Amino acid sequence: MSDVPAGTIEATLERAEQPGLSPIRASWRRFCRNRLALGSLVILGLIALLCFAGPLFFPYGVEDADFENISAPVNLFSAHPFGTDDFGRDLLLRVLDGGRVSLAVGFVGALAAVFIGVIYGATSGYVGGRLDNVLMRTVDVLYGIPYFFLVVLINLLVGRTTAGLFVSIVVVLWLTPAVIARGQAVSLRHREFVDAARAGGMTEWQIILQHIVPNSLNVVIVYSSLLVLEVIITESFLSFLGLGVQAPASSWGSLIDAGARSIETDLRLLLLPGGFLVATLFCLNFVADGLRDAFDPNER
Amino acid sequence: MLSTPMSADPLGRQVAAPILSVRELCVDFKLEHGIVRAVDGVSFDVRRGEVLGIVGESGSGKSQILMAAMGLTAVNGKCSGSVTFEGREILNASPEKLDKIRGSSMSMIFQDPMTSLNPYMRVQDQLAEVLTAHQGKSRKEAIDLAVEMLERVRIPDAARRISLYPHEFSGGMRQRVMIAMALLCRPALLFADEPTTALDVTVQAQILDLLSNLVRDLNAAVVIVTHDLGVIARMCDRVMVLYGGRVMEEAAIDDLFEAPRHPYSQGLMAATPRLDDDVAHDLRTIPGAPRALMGKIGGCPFAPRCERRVERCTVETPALLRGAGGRAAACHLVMP
Amino acid sequence: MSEALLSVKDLKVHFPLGKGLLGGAGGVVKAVDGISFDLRPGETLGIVGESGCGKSTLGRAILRLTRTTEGQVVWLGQDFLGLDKNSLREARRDLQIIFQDPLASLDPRMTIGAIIARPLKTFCPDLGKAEIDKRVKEAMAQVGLAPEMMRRYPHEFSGGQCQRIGIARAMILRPKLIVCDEPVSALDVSIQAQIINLLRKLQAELGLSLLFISHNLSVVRHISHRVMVLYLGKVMEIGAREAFYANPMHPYSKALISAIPLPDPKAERARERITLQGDLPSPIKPPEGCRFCTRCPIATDLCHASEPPLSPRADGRLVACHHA
Repeated sequence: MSDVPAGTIEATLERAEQPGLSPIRASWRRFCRNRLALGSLVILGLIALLCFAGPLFFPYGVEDADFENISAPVNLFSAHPFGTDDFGRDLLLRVLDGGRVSLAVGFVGALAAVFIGVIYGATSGYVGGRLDNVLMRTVDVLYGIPYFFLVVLINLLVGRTTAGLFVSIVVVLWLTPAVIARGQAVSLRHREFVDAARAGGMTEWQIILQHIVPNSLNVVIVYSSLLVLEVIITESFLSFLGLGVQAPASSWGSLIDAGARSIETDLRLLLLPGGFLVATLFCLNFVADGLRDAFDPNER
Repeated sequence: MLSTPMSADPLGRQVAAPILSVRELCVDFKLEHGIVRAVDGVSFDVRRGEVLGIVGESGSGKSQILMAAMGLTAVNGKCSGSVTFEGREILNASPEKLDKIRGSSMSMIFQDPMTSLNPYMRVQDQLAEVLTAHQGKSRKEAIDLAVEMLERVRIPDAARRISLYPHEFSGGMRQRVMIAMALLCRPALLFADEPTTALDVTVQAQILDLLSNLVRDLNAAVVIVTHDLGVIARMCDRVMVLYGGRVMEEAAIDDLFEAPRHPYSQGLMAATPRLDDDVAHDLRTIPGAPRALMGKIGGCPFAPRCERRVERCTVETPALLRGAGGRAAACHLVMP
Repeated sequence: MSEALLSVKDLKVHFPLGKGLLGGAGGVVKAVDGISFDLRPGETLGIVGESGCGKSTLGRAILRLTRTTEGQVVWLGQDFLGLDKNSLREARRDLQIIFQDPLASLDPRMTIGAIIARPLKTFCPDLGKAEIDKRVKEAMAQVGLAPEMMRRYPHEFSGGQCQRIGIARAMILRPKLIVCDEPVSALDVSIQAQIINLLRKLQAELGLSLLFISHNLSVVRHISHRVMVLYLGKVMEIGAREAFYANPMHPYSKALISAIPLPDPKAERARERITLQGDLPSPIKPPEGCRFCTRCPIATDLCHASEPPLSPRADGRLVACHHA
C-alpha cells in the first residue's frame, strides 16, 4: 500500500455506535464550507419562498387590476411596493407569480430530464454491446434535430400550454444527462465492487439501480445544477419569443417580453422581472460551482 | 577519485565522511483534519559505497524521508531538521540550488516508471535532457552517451529502441530506462523508492542484480526504501526499521536478521512468510494495523500494537539508543 | 478419493484486439490458453505466475465474470458455463470471490453492514431485518471486525479491515468455493499475515475450497495444498505443495523460486540464483513451441519446435516440459 500519510484513520471503537460519514454527507459538508455557494443557496431559497408563498400574502390576485392606481411608481411603503403596470396590476405580484412558473419549470424540468437521462444512460452504459450502440445512436440522432423545430412541433401537438413548454424542454434536455450517465456507467462497470455484485448473484437491473446510479450521483448532481440554469434560460427565451408560456399565465420570460415592448415608456416592467431572473441565474451559477468543488472526485 | 574527507565511525576507525547526513528530520503535513507528522526525528548517515535500507509499512514515513532529501515534498508539507549532502545543507534549499544537484550528483529511482517517465517524450529526449542540462553536452554527444547507458542496463537493441516512447517498453524495461536516467551523470548518491515493487519477481531479480553491479561500479551511496525484507536482505549493508515516522531499530544487515532486538522488527520478521517456514503453524502476526500519526502522540508509536508494552511505553517516547557495532534501538525494554 | 468439486477442462479465454485498419483480423490476446485442473472440497489450490500468465483471468472466467472462449467448467457435476441466467444466479451462492484492491471491491456509497448483507438479501429476500443483522454481525465477528462498526463506510477503514469486510461478504452465504484474486498483495506484511491466518481458519471451520491466486510464492506456500504454475496462459507445473517447494521440476518453477529474495542475508548470499534472461514475451505473439523456450536456460531445438504436453511424473505431479 502506498506510504501516503493522509491515509484512513482507523475507526475507533468509541465512535463505533455513530453512523458513519457517507461520501454524500462528506461532500455536503464541503459544500457548506464554501460560503459563496452556501450564501447563494440561501438566497435561492429565499427567492423560491417569495415566489411560492409570497402571493398568498397579497389581498388581490395577479390579474386584478387596480384601476385607481394605474402605472403607479415604485413606492415601497404603499400597497403596491413595486408599482403597477398600465393595467393596474401589481408588479411585484406579477413578478413573483412569474417566478413560480420559471422556477417550477426549471427545477422540475431539470429533475425530469436528469431522471430520464440517467436511467437511459446508465442502462445503456452498463449493458453495453448492441443495446448501448442503438441507444446512443438514437441520442445522436435526436441531438441533430434543430431545437426550435422540435419545440414548434410539440407546441402544435400539445398546444401552447405550460405543459407543452415543459415537455418540449425535457424532451431535448434529457440527452446530455444520458450521455454523461452512460460515460459514468461505462467506467463503473469495470470496478471491482460491480464484479463483486455480479458474483453475488445480483441481476443487471439490481446492479444498475443500486450500484451504478448511486455512484454516478456525484457527476449527476453537479450537472443537474447547471441544467436548472439551462432550463430556466431556455424557458425564458421561449416565452420571450412567444413560444412558451401564454397569457394569462406568465413567467419571467414572458414578463421580460412584455417589458421589452414598453422599454421606452416604463423601464420597471423590464427591470423587475429581469432583475429577479439575473439574480436567480447568478445564484444558480455559484451553487453549481460550489457543488462541483464539493463533489468532484478528483479533489478527494 | 578526489581525496575524500575522513572521520571516525562509532568504533573509532577512520572512514570516509558520510556523503549524506540526516539529523532530526521531521516532516509535517497540513491536512483537512489537522497536522499529520509523517517523519518524526529521523537521523542517519550514508557513506559512498554503502547501501542503506529503510524498511517500513504504510504510514511509516519512509518515502517521505527521500522526498524531503530531494526537495520533492508536497506543497502542504513542512520539513525541519537538517540534511547535508557533501557537507552542504540541502533541506528546504531553493529549487535553483537543488536543480544543480538533483539528477546529477544525487538522483532517484521511483516505484512506478510509467509516472516518472514523461509519456509524451521519446526516451532519447528525456535521457539527453539530463546530460545537456547538467553536463552541458551537445545533443549528439548526449544521445551517444544515453545509448551507451541503455546498453549498460541491458536493453537489447538500444540504438533503435532509444527513439521509442515509454509506453512502448515493457514494465521491466521501463524500470531499466529509469535506472539509466538516474545513473547517467554518475551520481554519488542514489535514492530508490520501492524500485522493484511493481515488477514481477523474475524481473525484480534481474533489476536488483543490475542495480547492485552498477552502484558498485560507481561506488555510489545508495538509500533503498522498501517494505520487502527480501529485497533488503539481498541489497543492503545496513538497515533502518521505521514505524510511525520514527526509527525503531538500526543495524548491520546480518545483525538485524539474525537477532532483531526491537519488538517491531521481531514482529515484522515473524510475519514475513518464508520459503523455509513451518507451514503447520499460523504466521505470527502483529495485532492491529499500521497507521499514520495524527497530531503529536505521547509514547512509542508502536505501543498500541506491541505485545510487550508497559505503562511507560504509552507515556514516554523512547529515544534511539546507540550500542556497540553500529546497532541502535528505540525501545524502553531492550538494549541495542 | 472425494469427488472433484470443480473440474476445469482445457479452458481458453481469448480477447480479440479489434480489427486492423483495413478490416483484417486484429491480434488476439490468448490470456488463458488451455488450462485444466481439478479441485477437491476443502482443498486450496495456489495459482501462481507473473504478469500476463492469465491467473486473474482464469479466476474470473471460472466465475463467469469474463467470457470464456472455449473449454468446460464442471461445478458440482453441472456444466457451469452452459447454465442459463437463472440457474447461474442460483449457483452463485456457492461460488464467491475476494479481490486484490480491498477498498475498490466495496461500494463506497454503502455502509459495510449493507455491503455484507447484500448477498443475503439477494438470495434470501424473505429474511427479516433482525435476522439479517444477526447474520451480518456473526460474519463480522468471524472475520475479526467489531460488529458495532456496521454503520460505517468503507473509506473509514484501513486496507486490512476492508479485506476482512470483503471476506465477510464472500462467506456469509457459506459458499463452497472462494476465488481469492491476489487478496493480500495490496496489504502490508503484518496485515497480510493476519489475513492469511484468517483464511486458513475459515477454511478449517467451514470446509471451504480456495483458489488462491497470487504472484507471491512464499504466501502461497502458507495456504495451499497444491500449487499450479502458469506462464503465458498455460500450465507449466501442478503438484502437491511439499513436493513442489522441495523440488520444483519445471525450469520456470525453479527460476521463480530462485528469484524470490529470501529475508535472510546469509542464505541470500549463499544461494545459487537462476536468473532468466529477457522479458516476458507478449501474450499476443507467444513463442512457437514451448511458451517458455525464449527464456529457458535449458531450451533445445525440440522446445522451440513443439509444445510439451502436461504429463505426469513419478510423484503424481504434472509437468509440461520436454526435459524435466
